[in-house]
Amino acid sequence: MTNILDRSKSQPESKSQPQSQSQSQAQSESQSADILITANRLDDGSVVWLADDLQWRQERHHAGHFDKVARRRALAKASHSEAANEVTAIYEIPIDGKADVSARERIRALGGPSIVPPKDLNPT
Amino acid sequence: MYKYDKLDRDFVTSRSAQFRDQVNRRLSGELSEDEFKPLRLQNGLYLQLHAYMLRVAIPYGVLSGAQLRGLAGIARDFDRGFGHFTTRQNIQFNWIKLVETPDILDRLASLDMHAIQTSGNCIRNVTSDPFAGAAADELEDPRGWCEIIRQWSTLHPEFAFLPRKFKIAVSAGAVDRAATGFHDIGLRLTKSISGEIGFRVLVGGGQGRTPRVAQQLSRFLPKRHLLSYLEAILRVYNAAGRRDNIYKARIKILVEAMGIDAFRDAVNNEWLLIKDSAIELPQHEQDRILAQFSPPALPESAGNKGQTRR
Repeated sequence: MTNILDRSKSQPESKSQPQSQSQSQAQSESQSADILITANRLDDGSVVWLADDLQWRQERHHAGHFDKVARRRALAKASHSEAANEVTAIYEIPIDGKADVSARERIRALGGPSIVPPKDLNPT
Repeated sequence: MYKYDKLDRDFVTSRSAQFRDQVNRRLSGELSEDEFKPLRLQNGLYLQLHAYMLRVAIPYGVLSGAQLRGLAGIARDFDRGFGHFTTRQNIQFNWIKLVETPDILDRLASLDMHAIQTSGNCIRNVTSDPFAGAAADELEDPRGWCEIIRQWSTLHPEFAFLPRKFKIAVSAGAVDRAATGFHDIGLRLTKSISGEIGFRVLVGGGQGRTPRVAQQLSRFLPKRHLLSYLEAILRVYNAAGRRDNIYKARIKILVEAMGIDAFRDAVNNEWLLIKDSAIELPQHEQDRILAQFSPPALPESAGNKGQTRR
């Protein structure tokens, strides 16, 4: 099975997509901490989290917490989803009180934008 | 502003069709993400924090009314109703769907616009003074030279996979409003003692985590040698720039490591091999492109007499 955490350390696409600082820092800790698994849907780029039922969900509060036992099955599901071209850019987030609550992950969970849009904006 | 001819239109349209095919191959799994990533990046498409982001070039900061409306339409039809204008004369759409990107590129092509080389480790869109063409202090309109560089660098096969992204800015004003000192290559139009207009060439500037002010590579480069000289700089960088560390890969790091004098020697050695060769821009092409940026013929009236002349 592909080591998803190692893959997440690959070069970022831009400065606005830093290698999740929490990821390198938490690499060793992640072996013991429970994890969340997140990705982007391939076709539309939506941020998704893997839920306890191993379905990809768009709401962070549905993200599953995978312990040492559940992790193997969850990562296998994630790799399978990637191979099936459903998701891409998968990475793990250790639930360690640092990585999972980082500014990056909080902004990502809110869906953006991280600015206050003009009041007259009426997105379709 | 630069007006597309049939060649330009055919080019951006065919590029869009090519990307549509690449997207289809990615979605079907024929292309892996590793294979697809450099292709989408060279078409301005990132995968970022929230979703895909598409960066569209706004050449030299000038848009027609139709183009601005077209961009608004893209924001409305494919994104959340707004975009983000950047400091390097682009607009970014931050919630783009991969499956819809080819349609957006088609829409851009119909507006004489594109997203080619707005990302990736290639020569990015060339930027200029936001007042280019209207500034009283400029020696001449720098946008024609930006366009010449764009046409030379677009899909240049030798420079499609540089160690890192590469940014060029051109300024012609007495005041540098294009931040040429903070670009990989900065070009400042200047006058020689004899009155000839050419370029002062700066190299190795940049911001980010290792901010550096560009150093002077050439005090005066005659205009006719611009492309061969740029090619020589890029060749030295392409061969000697670091590829082992993303944070050490920009040309500013190479210039600093070699020292400006050794870097200049390396460029000059490379330049001697190609100077005055076929890479030099033919005069008629130079004239054709620069003419696109000639000021409009305005009738003189009592109110504006003399004011429309630089």
